[in-house]
Amino acid sequence: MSQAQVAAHSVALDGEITFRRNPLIDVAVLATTFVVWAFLIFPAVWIFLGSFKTTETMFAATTFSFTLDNYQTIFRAGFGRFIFNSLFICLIAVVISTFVSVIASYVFSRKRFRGKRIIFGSVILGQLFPWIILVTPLFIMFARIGLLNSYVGMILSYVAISIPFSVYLLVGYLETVPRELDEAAVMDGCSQFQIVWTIIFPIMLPGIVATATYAFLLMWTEFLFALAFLTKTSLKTMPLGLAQFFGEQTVDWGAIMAASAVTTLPALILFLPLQTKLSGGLAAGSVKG
Amino acid sequence: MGERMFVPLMLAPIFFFLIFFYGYPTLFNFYNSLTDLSLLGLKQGGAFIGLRNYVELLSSKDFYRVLWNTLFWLTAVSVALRIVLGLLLALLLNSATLRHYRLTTASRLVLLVPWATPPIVAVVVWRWLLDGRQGVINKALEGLGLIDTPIAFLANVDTIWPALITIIAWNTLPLVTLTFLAGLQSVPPELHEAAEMDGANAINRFFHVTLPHLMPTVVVMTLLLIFWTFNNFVYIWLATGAGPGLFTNVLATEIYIKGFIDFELGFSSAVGMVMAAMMAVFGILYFRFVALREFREIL
Amino acid sequence: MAGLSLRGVTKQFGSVTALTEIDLEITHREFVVIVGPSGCGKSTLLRVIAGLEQLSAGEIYVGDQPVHRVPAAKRGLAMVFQNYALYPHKTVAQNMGFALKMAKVRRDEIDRRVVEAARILQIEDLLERKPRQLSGGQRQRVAIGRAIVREPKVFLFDEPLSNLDAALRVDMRVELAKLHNSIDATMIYVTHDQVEAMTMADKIVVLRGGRAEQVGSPMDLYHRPANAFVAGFIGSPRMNQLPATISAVSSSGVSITAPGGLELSLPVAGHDARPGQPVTLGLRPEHLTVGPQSGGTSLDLDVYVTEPLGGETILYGHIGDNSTLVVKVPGGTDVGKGQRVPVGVVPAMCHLFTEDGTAFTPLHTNDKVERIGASSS
Repeated sequence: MSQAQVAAHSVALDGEITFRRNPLIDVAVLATTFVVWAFLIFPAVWIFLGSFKTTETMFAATTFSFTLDNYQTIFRAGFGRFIFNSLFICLIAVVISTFVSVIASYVFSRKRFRGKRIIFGSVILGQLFPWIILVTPLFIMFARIGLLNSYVGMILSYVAISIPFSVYLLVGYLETVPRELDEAAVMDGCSQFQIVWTIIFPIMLPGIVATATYAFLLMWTEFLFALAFLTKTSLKTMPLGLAQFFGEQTVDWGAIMAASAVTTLPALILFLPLQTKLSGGLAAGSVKG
Repeated sequence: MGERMFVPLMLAPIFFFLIFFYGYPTLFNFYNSLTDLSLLGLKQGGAFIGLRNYVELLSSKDFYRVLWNTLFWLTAVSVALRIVLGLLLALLLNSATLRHYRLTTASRLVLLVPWATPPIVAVVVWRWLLDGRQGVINKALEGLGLIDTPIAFLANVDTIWPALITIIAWNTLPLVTLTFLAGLQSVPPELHEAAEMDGANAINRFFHVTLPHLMPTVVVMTLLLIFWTFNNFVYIWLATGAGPGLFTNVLATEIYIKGFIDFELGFSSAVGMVMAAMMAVFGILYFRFVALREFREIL
Repeated sequence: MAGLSLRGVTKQFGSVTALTEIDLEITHREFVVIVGPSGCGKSTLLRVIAGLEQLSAGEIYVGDQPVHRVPAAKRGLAMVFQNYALYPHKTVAQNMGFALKMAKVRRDEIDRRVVEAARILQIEDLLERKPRQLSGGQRQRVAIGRAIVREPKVFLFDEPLSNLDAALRVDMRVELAKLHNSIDATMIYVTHDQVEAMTMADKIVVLRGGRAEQVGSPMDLYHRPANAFVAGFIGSPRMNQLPATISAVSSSGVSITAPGGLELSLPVAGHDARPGQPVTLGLRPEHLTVGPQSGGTSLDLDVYVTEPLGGETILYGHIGDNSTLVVKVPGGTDVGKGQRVPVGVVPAMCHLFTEDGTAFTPLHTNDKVERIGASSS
């Protein structure tokens, strides 16, 4: 290595080799970064600011008068009920969906059986299935058996739409759990059911939590099925309730921002621990092979 | 409980959902597409009319506009844009500068904000920002003297697609970026060091080391974005309601409008079947090139 | 008492045959090592014995009980896995006691047996730790401890030392040998490492392509390999195998011509051998000598690489045309690169194989051969 090349390296404190940077490029890179940050954050910040603004200052960029009126407005309009409906439907659906996905994923990951390729393939391809196509036939089916405007109908639909991605994530996670653990459990005298509940379930708990969180977020923000299957106000979920504020001739932006903030905050909190797993998982899965 | 019943028992619940929420509805949808079923006549059902819905659909000019909107604007442009921007952003976040100032982690947190925002909220806030009378963006452009009269971004035919794509990109770019960033960070440093020893400069290294390593991730991401965008209903529906008129109508909104606004469930089902057939092509690609490889150990 | 016998054990995965009619008799307290290159079916054989794989044909007996239809946990066997397979969410004590808990053994009895096993393996102070807090060697001990507490009739080891570093591997090898001496059980041990096989085994099974190539004591396999594959697999450095041609066959042996003008008369049974038949001559590097030869046959070696290991030196050289020959000589031997040295060959120490690899039978298996081999290996 020539001396120039040696000089081109500066070994950072953490031992990582970094390349000597041009100060002009540095400035350009940092400027770009902050512009990108602004683009990404600005709309969300605007929601939270807007939700505390009075109607008069709503569109003013400079003046700001604080108020909680917007939150009072949405809760007077029954937003509390929407929150309850969303929580009730999503929590029950997440439990069922995760349970169904965990046991199926275990079998897909560990067992050899006839028709596996086609069954597993169907589940995985379910990720790509346009839900809009399901809406019409499900609407007719639900209408006939009385599942329109019901918690049960919504819960079952949400379980159905979350299963494919949950299975995809869980099977991927199970691949990181050595099969020898299952075999050790067989040697130790566990039945197949005991292996799933006493060995595999506790070991893959982090993966299960991540998957359940993802499924919850999917349902929490779901709009289409709620729009088609729920017409009674008392049963509507939050996304539907939020859209409802657009319904009138005049748009109450303050109320919409407050409702948006209430809808987004739980999602943001749940996303924090989840994001590395999800994006890393997609990259790892696709790099493999 | 019998050990031999293990596999059937564990798969029974997922079978239930596969059959009653995917298999049967699809077949039922196909059957409906051959009838003149109306939302108002659900009780008596529709009369069998053969392929008439399909003939009507494929011979209507509107359908090809919807198809163009779906394939070109909604899918091709927005996916290409996000892949390119995602790649550039990932490279930016992984750059020596940001790592030196320890801004990579902060950037990841910033990316989290749009990603965690529910699509409906994303649409809502952008409708507000892009509002034709009082929107912040119009105010800002006027303030800077760039425009004289406010632009109704989500109503003007020249700006409506770029505006819609901006909304979609804002909401989903973070996932693309973070996935590519994870891919970038998984490039073994030895590869870069070896390339450097071989005399490759930064640009050479990007094309000969980084990009080939990232390529599988790019392919998977592209396919996934195509599915998610092609199938998406909520952005268009909430942002423009497929309007003005039916200017931004896409397949997903067409199905909803035909079925639940025009009450023509039979016709709407036919549109759905056409959409499913197009999706099946991508589905096969995905299964052949992604799923089979990723899960080859267990298949 | 609990020996183990395999009769015609065959395993097929779809159309692929992984094991073909393996017959094996293992007596009580025997230490059997199953060895072979990767993909030879050795792990499959162990897993079939364990009950983790169902066999396609054949029978397995533990003692005089047929067990091939018995669930894995009820065969009276314990297995130590290659990557230890410790349950990450359980403590060491819970890991070791889990099988007993599943078998509904009383709590105080479980504790007693876990503590006893921990004492034998000197891991008493680790009992409350989780596996991730342990070093590789400690995990290995816990994995063995988990097997011990079950008081199995047969221990199964699946390459248990392959994840340890070289120094620890030697230590654990000795520990395992000690363990085998101190507890009353049969052990079956799978490895790809012929050194582990030679040092630990009472009996070695050499597997290739799902078939048992040879079963015998380490010295048996070393001195009387049944075929060229076993001969090449056992012993380090590998046996030299040179192409040769039979020149004459008589009642006192077979004469051959080998590269480098080597003419040898070997004391092996000729049977159907006929002059002109191509054969393979096997010469172990440690059975060749360098220097002026007092008797026997010698050939010239052009040394191109020397590997001094201290106590001994390995010479790599050409003979005749371009055949390579490896010779092991005592450490002090003064031979350098580029030198030509005479190498002595003792006919009684040579092996001869037919073209398909089968060994010619020695005419007299005298003790002298065994003694020479033992002192030089």
